[in-house]
Amino acid sequence: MEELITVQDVSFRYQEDQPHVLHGVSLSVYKGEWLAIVGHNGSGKSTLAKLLNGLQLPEKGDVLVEGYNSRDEESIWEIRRRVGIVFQNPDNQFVGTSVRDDVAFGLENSGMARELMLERINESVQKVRMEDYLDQEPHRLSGGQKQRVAIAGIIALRPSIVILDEATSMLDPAGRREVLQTMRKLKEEEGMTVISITHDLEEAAQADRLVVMNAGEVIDEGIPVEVFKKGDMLEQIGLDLPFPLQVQRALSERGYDFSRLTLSQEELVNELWTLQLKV
Amino acid sequence: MDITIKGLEHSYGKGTPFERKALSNINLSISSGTFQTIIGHTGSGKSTLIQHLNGLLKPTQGSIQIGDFKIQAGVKEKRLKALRKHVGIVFQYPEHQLFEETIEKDILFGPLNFGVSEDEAKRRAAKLIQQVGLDESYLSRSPFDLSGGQMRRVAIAGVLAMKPSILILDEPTAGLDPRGRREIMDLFYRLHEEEGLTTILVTHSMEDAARFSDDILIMEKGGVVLQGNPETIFSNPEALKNLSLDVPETVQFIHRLEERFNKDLPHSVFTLKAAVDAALSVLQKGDDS
Repeated sequence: MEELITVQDVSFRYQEDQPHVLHGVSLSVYKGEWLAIVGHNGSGKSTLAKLLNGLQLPEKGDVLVEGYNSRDEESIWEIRRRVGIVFQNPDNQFVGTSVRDDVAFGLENSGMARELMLERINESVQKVRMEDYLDQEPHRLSGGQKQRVAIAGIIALRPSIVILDEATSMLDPAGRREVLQTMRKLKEEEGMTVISITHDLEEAAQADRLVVMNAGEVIDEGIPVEVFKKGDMLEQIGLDLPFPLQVQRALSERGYDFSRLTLSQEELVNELWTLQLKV
Repeated sequence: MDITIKGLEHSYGKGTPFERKALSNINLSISSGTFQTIIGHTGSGKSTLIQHLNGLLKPTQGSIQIGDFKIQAGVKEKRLKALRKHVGIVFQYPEHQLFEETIEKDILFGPLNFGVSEDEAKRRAAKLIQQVGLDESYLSRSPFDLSGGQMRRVAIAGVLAMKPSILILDEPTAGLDPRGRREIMDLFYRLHEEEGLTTILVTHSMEDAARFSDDILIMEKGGVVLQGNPETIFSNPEALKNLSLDVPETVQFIHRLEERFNKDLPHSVFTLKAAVDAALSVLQKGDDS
């Protein structure tokens, strides 16, 4: 697997007289994967996101994006072109007075020719299915639609990595589904690499790989079923296990043996069916 | 204080080309001490509705009676300040409204404004800071050195310091991590019980709605489309699906079990424990056969 981002032993604090927010964090992000980074409020997840596209620079250690080091001033724009971030609040990231203008913003900044720009705008709004809203004003859109426009603005620049920094946490359930479906489609059809920073473990359960952060450190990493085996550890650091897993754990305590970990309700009900046949 | 809403209608920008009807024909009564939950998509009118309950917005049509206060379209209620003492609103992201130098001053701001003596207000602050899960040493600190979750607790203490009898919560847990969400909701429920409050919760969380509510109201396009206790509301997943709303996971689980095991199970299952009991009951059925 091709490694797109390498974080090597990174420590960071916002000011010299303040405690470190990240301590010796190392991790890799591979091409085409959906990586979920989970942790409670204040665990350092969002700070890490800002280091991944050079919005903040490490105090110690290095962040490499496709070989470019964020410490290197010449590289910073190469990195920002490759890594786009969708932030939490849909109202804080709209700059244009219409959907079209908003998507154009990043392209204009990159000095693209008008013809090519129009093409890119149309292409990217189609990918997030917002083509019917090109002339709409931002305040007329729902939260989910605003976040999709933010995604369009990012993918118009053809990044290789999109970071969702709690991008669905302010949305209602329908908006959340919209945004996640849009990103899954981009990952599957365009081979986009997705880093999703979240405390929604239901969403994390569907990732290819999971990184768990606590108090500024990476405390675990692996595929979801492996990480979720350590249910006690996740609960201890303030995260909620997905509901099917909670039911399964309660039943295991009552002496029922499951053949595998169930991360969805469907799997759980199937396991219960098998158990019932056995007894 | 009982709340009675009759024929309430609200239009934004009345009489301008931008006029937009946000609420139409809302009839609702909430008796004192009820835990009332309001659910609906963004833009369904929930926030517009709750802003009528302390006179921040005036009805374009209809009336709202809260205890002996009456807010009526076209009539000026002179006692709005007195009403606002009884109705506390915790807005979305209340931590954005902190402004004082110390946490104590921030909590005192409301009660002092309503004429509570400084001694009494300080007593309340000392008690409340603990109730929201922080200790007294925080009172002298700046609210801006706290984490987001702690700031929210301070903001909540500031609303509680006015001793409202009706507490309105507009998505009070948005953006918090799971533990923070649980702690804040447990706090509100404890206050609801201990202080005999009338609580009105606006939420997207079906789990919270199922667990805490006496009554649930579902809004769409400025009107009420469904109303009932949690059992009634969640016994009809199809109706909710048509409104693109979810049912709580416990309820989804029960429906899946019923389908797979072809067995009738109790429907008012809103806690993990009750869901586990339901699973045990289908497994034990296997023992008998």
